[in-house]
Amino acid sequence: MNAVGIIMPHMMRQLAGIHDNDDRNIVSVASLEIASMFRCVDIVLDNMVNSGIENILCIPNSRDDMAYVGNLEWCRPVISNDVDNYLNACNEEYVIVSYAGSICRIDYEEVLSKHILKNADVTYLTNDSNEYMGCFVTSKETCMKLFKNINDNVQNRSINLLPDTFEIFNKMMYNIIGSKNGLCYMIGEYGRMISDMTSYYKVNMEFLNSEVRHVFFRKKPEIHTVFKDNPPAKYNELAKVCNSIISNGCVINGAVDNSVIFDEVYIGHNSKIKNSVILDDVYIGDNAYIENCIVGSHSTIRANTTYIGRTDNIGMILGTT
Amino acid sequence: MVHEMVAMLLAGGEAQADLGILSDGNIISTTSFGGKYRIIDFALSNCNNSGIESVKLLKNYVGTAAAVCNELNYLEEKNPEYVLIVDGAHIYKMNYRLMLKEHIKKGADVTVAGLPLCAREAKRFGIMHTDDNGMIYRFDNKANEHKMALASMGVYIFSWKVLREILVDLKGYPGLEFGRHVLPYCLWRGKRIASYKYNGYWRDINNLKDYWDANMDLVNEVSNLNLYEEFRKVYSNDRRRMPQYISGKGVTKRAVIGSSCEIYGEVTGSVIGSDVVIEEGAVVKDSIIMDGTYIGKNTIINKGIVADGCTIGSECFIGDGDDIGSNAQGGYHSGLVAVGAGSVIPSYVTIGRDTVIIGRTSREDYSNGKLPSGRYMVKDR
Repeated sequence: MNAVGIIMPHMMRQLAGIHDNDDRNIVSVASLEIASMFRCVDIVLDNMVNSGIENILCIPNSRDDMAYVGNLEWCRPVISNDVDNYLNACNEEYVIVSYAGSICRIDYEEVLSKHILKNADVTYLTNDSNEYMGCFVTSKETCMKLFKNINDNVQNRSINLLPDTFEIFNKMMYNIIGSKNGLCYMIGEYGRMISDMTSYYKVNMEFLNSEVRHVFFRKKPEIHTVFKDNPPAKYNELAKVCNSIISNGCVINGAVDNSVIFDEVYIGHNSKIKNSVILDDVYIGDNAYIENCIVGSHSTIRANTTYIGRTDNIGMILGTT
Repeated sequence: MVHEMVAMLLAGGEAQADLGILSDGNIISTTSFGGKYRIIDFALSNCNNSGIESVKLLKNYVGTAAAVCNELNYLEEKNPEYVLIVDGAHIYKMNYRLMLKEHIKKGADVTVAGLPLCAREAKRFGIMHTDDNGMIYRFDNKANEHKMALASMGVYIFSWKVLREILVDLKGYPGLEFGRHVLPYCLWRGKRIASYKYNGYWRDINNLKDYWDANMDLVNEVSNLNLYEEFRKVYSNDRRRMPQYISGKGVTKRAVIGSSCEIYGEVTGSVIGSDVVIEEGAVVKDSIIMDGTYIGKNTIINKGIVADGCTIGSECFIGDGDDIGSNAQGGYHSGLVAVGAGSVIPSYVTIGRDTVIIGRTSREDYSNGKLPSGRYMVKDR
């Protein structure tokens, strides 16, 4: 394929407000898991590899996910900040730039063909609601100009540390190529852009829909992901699970309703989880109640505690409560 | 590289007829277990968790000791201090290193792992009679039925020099077995045989009933076999990690369910493998369903063992009626229904207990839509 792929660093805040500047509050979207099945970066890399893109550049961020990307068995992206040098060394004429939070299954070859056919300067990926998917195609020259502009503007601030990289980059992109001949490519099936915890919550919950599961779980080729050797899920006598996703290594003693439960989650007796996303390795004690929340990885929810978020303001629980 | 201890893993044990239909080539150790594992994963994980780096799989079943005799060259080459002999058809979590420590401490030539059982049970595996120091002076299957006895678990540690000497003596004896031939010969030769008492969970899988029982042990809330601890983890080669979906009408209680299943019906007291679909209204009770099987709407399965890749139609009743014993070959008296890999059962049929179905069956194969208890049916796959 006549294009290289660039994966942008993409950070976001977990909790809004007082924790804004706490380093622990900023996560890399690339390493967030979706429906306990793959990391966001897996799906973007998978799309690129399946589309026949041979050269992929991953711009590093400050989080550990670069080690993850660097050690994949099924693809070997280059991890570097030096976009200029990388693009100069490649023979491809086009560049596909994507954020890790761009959750869809797409053949970039088709996008590129349309881009070339319509003689566009830039082609933006959108979903069926016309929302920008955090992915675009452009020529190598335009892309290099764009990154030069970024480097000139952010100067001493390291772009990959900012939680708002997505917004900043979009603004610059608009300044550089906004006036050019732009084209939109609408994804036929499921497409969502994860840009904050609310959209992250929504994407996970949408996996309760069988059509969405079909796209990501059943459609060939299978999405590459990293193997975790967990035992099968176990449901005890008083388990009551309804319209939910349950992952390997879970032990369920309580009620789970309309929720997505990641790997190795223990749910205590008489506890109830409703409309929530529980990330991996979480311990939930007896008699707990959780509604409209995301519970972060490795958290412990003490017995007899209650956390209720709102449908328009999802609660975020991190660490030990 | 010096190997302190190498493991010889007997992986070729053949299943009795009824269990055999669940695995390719009738081999017990490769039969699926617990919704994710193969039976051999337990012995392999034990070796790994005990820090044993060399494990030799012995695939041909010619007698346990005869199989090791065939690998004498391998052992000569490795030249270890000790040789561990384990069976791939056992379900347990054991640290062989602790057993080795005892072996060394007691200055034994051979150490045999033993499980305290009531004598009636222990007879099946062979009883070890020990002195006050835990040294074995006799093997047989005689003991007071109401007392506890030490049953041989088929786990042995030999000092390599002793094993070599003994096997060279006995080489060529047809169907040479450790329990029946080698250990009594060791005693006769005056070798020091120690017992090592193991108090954890251990199951020997030999027939369909053993297999069903061991799976059901996993379903209990407090299982003696804990697969959910990092400590002595059981590893597997199943690389699927997709989660499972339980629908709004699904029921899952006392159940172990593997990756990427879609459950729209009711699952109680059962072990379900990966990629299984159980449709709305279906009831799977006290059963084992293996990878990739599809169960249609409103079908009831009671005490069934359905192997990989089967398709079961809708509105069936499988496991109907009382246990009656069987006229099938080998005898099926456990009240279970066994369905071989890749079988097809059409919609609207009733199947009794102590039955076996293998292959693609169609409506015409069931007279009045029924397979009575105690019958079997074998068709092409």
